[in-house]
Amino acid sequence: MRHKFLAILVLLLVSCATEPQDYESEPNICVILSTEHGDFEPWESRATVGRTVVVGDTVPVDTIREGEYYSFPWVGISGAEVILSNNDTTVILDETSDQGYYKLYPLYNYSLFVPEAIWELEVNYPGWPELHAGTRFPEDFEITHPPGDTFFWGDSIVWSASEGAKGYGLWYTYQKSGIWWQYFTGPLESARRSKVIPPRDYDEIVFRVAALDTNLYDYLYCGWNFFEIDDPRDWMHIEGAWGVFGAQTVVSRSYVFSPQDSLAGN
Amino acid sequence: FYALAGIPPGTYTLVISMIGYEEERVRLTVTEGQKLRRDFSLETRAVGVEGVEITAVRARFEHEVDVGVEHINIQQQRKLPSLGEEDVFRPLEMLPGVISVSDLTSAFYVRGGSMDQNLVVLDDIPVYYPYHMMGTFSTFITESLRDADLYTGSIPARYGGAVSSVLDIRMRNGSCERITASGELGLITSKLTVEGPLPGKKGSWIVSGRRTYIDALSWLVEEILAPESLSFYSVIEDYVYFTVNNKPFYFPYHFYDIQSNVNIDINDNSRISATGFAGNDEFHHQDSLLEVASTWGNAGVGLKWRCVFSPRLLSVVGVDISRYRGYDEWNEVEFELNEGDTIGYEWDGGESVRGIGVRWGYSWLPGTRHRVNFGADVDYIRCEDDGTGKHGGVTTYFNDDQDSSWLFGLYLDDKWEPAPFWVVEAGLRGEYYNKGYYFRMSPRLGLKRRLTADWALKAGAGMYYQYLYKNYPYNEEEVKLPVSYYGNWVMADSANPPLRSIIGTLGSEYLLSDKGKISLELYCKDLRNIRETCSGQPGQGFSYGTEVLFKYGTSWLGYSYSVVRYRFEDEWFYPLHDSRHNLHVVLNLPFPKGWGLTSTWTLNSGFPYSGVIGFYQYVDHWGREVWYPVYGQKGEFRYPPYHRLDIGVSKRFPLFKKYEGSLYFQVLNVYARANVLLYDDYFDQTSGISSRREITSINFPLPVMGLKVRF
Repeated sequence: MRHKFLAILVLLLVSCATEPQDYESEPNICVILSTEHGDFEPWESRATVGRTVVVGDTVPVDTIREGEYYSFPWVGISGAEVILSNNDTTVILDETSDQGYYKLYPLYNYSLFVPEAIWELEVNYPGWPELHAGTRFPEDFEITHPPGDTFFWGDSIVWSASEGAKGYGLWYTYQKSGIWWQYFTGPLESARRSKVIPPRDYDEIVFRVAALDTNLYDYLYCGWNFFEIDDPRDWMHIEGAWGVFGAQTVVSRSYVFSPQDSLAGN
Repeated sequence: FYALAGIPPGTYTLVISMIGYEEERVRLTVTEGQKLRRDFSLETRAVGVEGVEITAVRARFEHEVDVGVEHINIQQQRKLPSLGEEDVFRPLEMLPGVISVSDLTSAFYVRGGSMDQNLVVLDDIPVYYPYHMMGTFSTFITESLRDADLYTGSIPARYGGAVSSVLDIRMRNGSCERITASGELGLITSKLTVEGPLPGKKGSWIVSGRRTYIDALSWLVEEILAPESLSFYSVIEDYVYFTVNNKPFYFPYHFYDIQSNVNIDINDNSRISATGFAGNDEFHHQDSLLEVASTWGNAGVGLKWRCVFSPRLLSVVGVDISRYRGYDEWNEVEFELNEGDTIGYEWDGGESVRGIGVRWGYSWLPGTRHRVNFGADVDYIRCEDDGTGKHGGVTTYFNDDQDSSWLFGLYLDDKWEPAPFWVVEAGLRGEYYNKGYYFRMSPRLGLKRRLTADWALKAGAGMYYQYLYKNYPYNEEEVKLPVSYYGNWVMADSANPPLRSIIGTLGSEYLLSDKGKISLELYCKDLRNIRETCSGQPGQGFSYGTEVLFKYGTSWLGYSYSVVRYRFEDEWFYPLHDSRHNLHVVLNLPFPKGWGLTSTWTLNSGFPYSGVIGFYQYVDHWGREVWYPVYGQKGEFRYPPYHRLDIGVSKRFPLFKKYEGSLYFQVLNVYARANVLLYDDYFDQTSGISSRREITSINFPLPVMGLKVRF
């Protein structure tokens, strides 16, 4: 009887420790459409396909994107079928020589990534469920302040509202520094489309403001501020996959920067 | 003051007893209509198995319901081994139904409730954040404390504002005979307590002070020992990502406390007492690139007027002010916003909770079978959260949130002994809270039926509300590690109703040979309107369990089985503080010639955690591909069981013939159990390998020693 009691006690104690169970890799898509075209800057377009990793796995990290200088490239999956379509156009994207990266630039020449345009995404891969998502570019908008060519020390950048945007991303650089700064306006601050800019000792400042649709805003902002016990898929908006299919309308403007003359004196 | 009313004429033996004090007996003759007054001053005694004050225990057993109540003699429990510093919360965590989730924090959880759901008061003054070192120690100096009551079940109607438990701590009076002092030199702190009578012996006073020297000690370790070999530091290193003056171990931190109490006898029927406390944690660092100053702590003062109008009517009227404040100043010459680009950065800000309370309470003895308590209280609470951030001298962040509320309470309760072997306590508390215009009624009921002279059954139930609380944390580090002093308090308002709990308890208690007791209690608790930090979603909780306590002398064995479930959306899950089985063994053994042995052994089932089951690649707002964890279901997994053995030895001896000294030596974690505190799952982006490592707390035997002297 005593042995049985001890055995039960041990089983109870042992059963209290549980290890993570088997988890199977899932699709991870990152397709961002932008009105600005270029080479993978955060306010530009990209299309990449990959998968999540199971604890204990080792993944190949030797896939380096052509011309890539990032330390941590996208770990992609080759051979997926990525289809973009809107009312008039359906395009199956070609994969680049870099595994998991897909070419968007053929679409740039057709001026199809424009404000208010609606796009659908479909991704197919053996063993994956059918993946569908949709997005709409926010409407066009503009930077309204400062109105002239000069940006004074302590001044703010202000922009008009964009219909269809859940929030905005601001990137700016003091020219010749080569460094960009970044700032979000959150959903509770969507009425506050301005930012005080700190003074630096440079003579030109360039702003890029991106109006982000709901998919992209949730992905960028919530991913930046996520809490560990959140389920990230709550803000990813792709049924059956991790990642994002979103769109951004981008405006840019450059100013002569005048740090010596404070705003109060003008 | 104590009053016995309605005594028929005759000759009696009056027995005054209290656990930890010498008993006094006096023979008295009472005549018709006579009002007798006697003042007593009890001498302390070393408490052991022999000569335990059973009179007080039996009196309480026969005349109080005490369902879900534990009375704690703090002077006894001071002997228990603790992490370098006596702590009033550590003995609590040895009781069934009370748990701590980490070796590194003294925050306690009661019957499935979270740490913010406990009201802690010192002489009726609320203490909003009673922890030092972000939770490692409590803010109370045990030398000047007398006792405490922990209410985990039937909370009396005079207490409001807590849905899980009330810890009512009382300071002891100073010596009425002469000025005495006691001091202690410990490994981490030193303390001094001075007490004495007021002039003309019209009262007494007591003052205690404590200061740590962690800053000096860590400097010593850094300069002399090899810090890399101490794995305790590795826990801090992982979560404190900066070095101080390029010294990986030096820690410029300390805390201090002051506690005082003054009692003034105005006349035979009136006494004024004042209690004050203050304490701060401070962290300061300065070098050519960075200056940091952080201060956080509590302060409070309370004034009470006790008045005996007649042997049947006593009153206590009091006012108290309490505040908790955490504050930061940060000045960094080269703050790195982007790689290779820096700018000056300044920050100052903090948060605070302040409260003012006025309390009227009356105790009326209409007959020998009733004790009626009634009264009212008013609390004004103000929360502030402010901060200013500047880049290059330009304000880039500004926040100034303020919130305040009023809470009015009325209460009435009656302890009634309708027949021999019966005790009934029924109470009702009504509250009005102005933010959201909440009017709440909070009934409480307790019953005790003694079946024999030594065996009783008891039951209790109550409904409770809380208006200042915290949301359910979003990660385990926040509750397991001492890394945050921010309270993140939330006030109930029209959108966020107050927390509500309903607690029911059934129990049985048996006195053993007048030296101990066995008690068994079953409870269930329903919790509503809790909220989650990240989503702000409302939710509910439910807990139930069984507690067994076997107490003999000053040693005990406590076991509890409990289940806690929370729900914020559709799925129930086990929260961070759910522990299925908990076993505590406490030994407090006196030996001849002033020797004493204390030992504690704790065994807990593992706590739940949301395990990392994978990683996903995320593209951030800079276009960088970074890896984040994929979590399983909330609370799906469990850490391994926790167990630890601590042993302490003490020796009392005369010092310079007229003083009393006591030397103590303790070893924590005698068999070097490596209890897992957290798992660190990470993905190495350069190698592509994902792996897990264990982060343990104290995984080596830790010696603690000190010297106490009484003058």
